[in-house]
Amino acid sequence: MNFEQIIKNVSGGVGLFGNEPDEPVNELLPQRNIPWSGSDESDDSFLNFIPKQKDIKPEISDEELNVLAEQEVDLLITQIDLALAIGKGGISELLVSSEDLRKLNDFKMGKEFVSSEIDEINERIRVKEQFEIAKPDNRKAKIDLLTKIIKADLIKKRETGTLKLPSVREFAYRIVLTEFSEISSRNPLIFSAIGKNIIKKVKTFF
Amino acid sequence: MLHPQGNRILFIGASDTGKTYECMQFAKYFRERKKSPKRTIVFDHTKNAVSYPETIQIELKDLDYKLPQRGCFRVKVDLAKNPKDLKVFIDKCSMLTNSCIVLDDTTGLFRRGVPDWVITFLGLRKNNRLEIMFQIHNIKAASPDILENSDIWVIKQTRDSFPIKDTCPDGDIVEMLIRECKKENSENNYQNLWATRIFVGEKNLIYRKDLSKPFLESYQDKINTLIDLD
Repeated sequence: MNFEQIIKNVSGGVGLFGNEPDEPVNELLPQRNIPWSGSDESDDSFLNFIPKQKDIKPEISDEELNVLAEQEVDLLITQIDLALAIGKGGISELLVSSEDLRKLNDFKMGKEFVSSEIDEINERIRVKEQFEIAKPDNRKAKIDLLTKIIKADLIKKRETGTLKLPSVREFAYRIVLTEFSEISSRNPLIFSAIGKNIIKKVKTFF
Repeated sequence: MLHPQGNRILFIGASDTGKTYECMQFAKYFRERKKSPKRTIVFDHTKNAVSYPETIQIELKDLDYKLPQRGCFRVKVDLAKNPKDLKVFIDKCSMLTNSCIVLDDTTGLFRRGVPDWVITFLGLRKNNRLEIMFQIHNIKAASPDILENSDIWVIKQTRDSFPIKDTCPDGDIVEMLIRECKKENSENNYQNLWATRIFVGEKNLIYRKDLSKPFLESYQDKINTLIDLD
């Protein structure tokens, strides 16, 4: 080994970090779609980073977005109608029970009863009938507004790259529920009957 | 001196010699320099988060996307559970550019030798602008492939017995530098065994770390290292 050579080389030159680095090369990887968390760096694109729609795969068209929004609305409306109808049935059953109807029938058949009790039963039947036929106001307007809100939310998600297409199973489930929503909206009394049955069963249990 | 495009840097030192600290100082330099900054990515297979306090923990899958240019990240993996994660990591790093890859405890990582795909990856350093850093505890247990494939040796005190094994390139110089570190540590009242030498094999350059100076000024070329040797 030539120690002299080594000593000669190392004296009088520049330090370890003296070389000017070469230009960086192009990045090969794609941008990430969501911002990084847990970092306070601000010099790069990883904070408040929102890619353009064209950079996000899969692209979701306006038409597809409308379908998703309508499905979402149908799902929500079905759930709301279901809860309301079951609730209505339950309340109806609480207002007028089978026992009340039996008493009323007996009264009509000529059996003796205290008239005040029959009057009270008749009054409850009247309230119940009014309650059952009552419909929410501005239902269409409310559904339209709900559709707008959901659509705006989906558009925002699409712009930030966080909107994901539902899985195959989820989509199939949505289709079933949408159809179910159509059927149930034509036959709201079905769920009302379910509510009545639930209350009857509960009462029998106690 | 450092190659302007990319380097393979080997850090050798026993425990408590500041090996990881020195390594992260280099990484910080690459990350923070004005021209051609390089993000830091640490491969942490030894659950060594304490040694890398400035890093943000990420997952292997995060390497599929462009990471921030000046970010400092640590990929935590459990090789006992997922032994293939090293290959996954190296494969993903092959797609990285302008980055500084730090492999923690390389002795343990390549105990059975260095696979071809790692050697291939090391070859990408210049074109992809990569700084690739290994850390080993001593020369004796180090894989010959790692020694052979390192451009810059950052040498600290080790527990190697002498003479250094034959498979070590420039073994006599490396041995002398380890001896020097031992001597400096024993003669000075350092809190830790911080004496450091750098050997750039291809250029026959040796740098002696001046511990009284800030990191970037600590490796100047006023070397008289070899004059004092026996």
